[in-house]
Amino acid sequence: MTEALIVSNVLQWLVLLALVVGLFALARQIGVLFERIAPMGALMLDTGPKAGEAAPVFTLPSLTGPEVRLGGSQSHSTLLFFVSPTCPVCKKLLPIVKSASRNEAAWLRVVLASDGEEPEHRAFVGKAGLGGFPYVLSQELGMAYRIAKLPYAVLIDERGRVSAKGLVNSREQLESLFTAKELTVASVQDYLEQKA
Amino acid sequence: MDALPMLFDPVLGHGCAAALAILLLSSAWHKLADLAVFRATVELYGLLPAAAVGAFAGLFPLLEAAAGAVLLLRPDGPWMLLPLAVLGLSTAAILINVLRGRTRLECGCGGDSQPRLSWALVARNVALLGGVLVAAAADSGRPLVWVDFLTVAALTLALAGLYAALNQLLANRPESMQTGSLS
Repeated sequence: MTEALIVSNVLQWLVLLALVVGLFALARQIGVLFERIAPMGALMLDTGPKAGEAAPVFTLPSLTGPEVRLGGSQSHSTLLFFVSPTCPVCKKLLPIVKSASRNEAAWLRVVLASDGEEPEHRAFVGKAGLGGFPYVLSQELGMAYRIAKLPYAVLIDERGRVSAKGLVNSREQLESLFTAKELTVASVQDYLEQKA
Repeated sequence: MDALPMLFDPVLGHGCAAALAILLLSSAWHKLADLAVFRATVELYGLLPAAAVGAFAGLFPLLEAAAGAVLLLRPDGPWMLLPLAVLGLSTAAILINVLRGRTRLECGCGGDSQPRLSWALVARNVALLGGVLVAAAADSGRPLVWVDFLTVAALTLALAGLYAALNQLLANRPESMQTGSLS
């Protein structure tokens, strides 16, 4: 009798653990689905303007200076960096973006982009010392590039084409966008695939 | 067997303690792996003067790891005040920000799914605090037999899995993804 109970107990635990794994997998899949249908579209690299395609042209007011023109022919390449005052990874990356903008000033201008309430962003610009960068607030811009997760960077070349883009979590990932532009490939992964 | 004595059974206590230890240790590990992000999270919570943020961000993951170790090694007596304090502190920080209406902040709980602050998150943490109390209250009177170790192991895995699934569901909540689409 005891043996029967033990067997039944072990079997029940096994079934329960399998169900928990299933529950987690389902929750994860729902998360992926939400990302795909979120207002901002997907995080995947293959939505929004692709690398090599023309970047949509926007003329937007900046919180920190004159109007900013994005896309079309420009004297410099543009790094469009999507941030938010409430995103910890963005906060970590801002000093890195600042130093990249100093080092690459010869060919690159950095434009910060976000959306939401203006006072919150003005406070953020003041506190994080972002006065030196154009800072635009536009939901349309985020939708055009299908931004779902932050911080997200888009590198637009002088001719107004998207040369590389992606979710950026570290200095290496930011620099890989520059490398991708130099190599004229959409991403470093593409380059490795081409070589292989 | 009554329901109440079962709450103090060592099997339940050990299971809760081990699952909470996994949670605290992995959370500490995620914070230490990317300290700059945790620092930014502490700053965004907006509860400490700027000068104290760096020191707190360095110290808290260590306290979290220590609390996890206590749950694994000495889940009894005054030692249990450490996990209670660590979880209590983060719950209070979340509660204050929810009351301030700052529900767009990511919780910084560690792991891949990052829920935003909400009442549900406060409730989750209260449940975790309850788990610590159950672990602390466990009565070591009943001698454990081999089936009990099996139960503890399975219970630990099940609780840790349920926590991961719950976190994912909290991160999924569509309303939290739609408010302020970019943030």
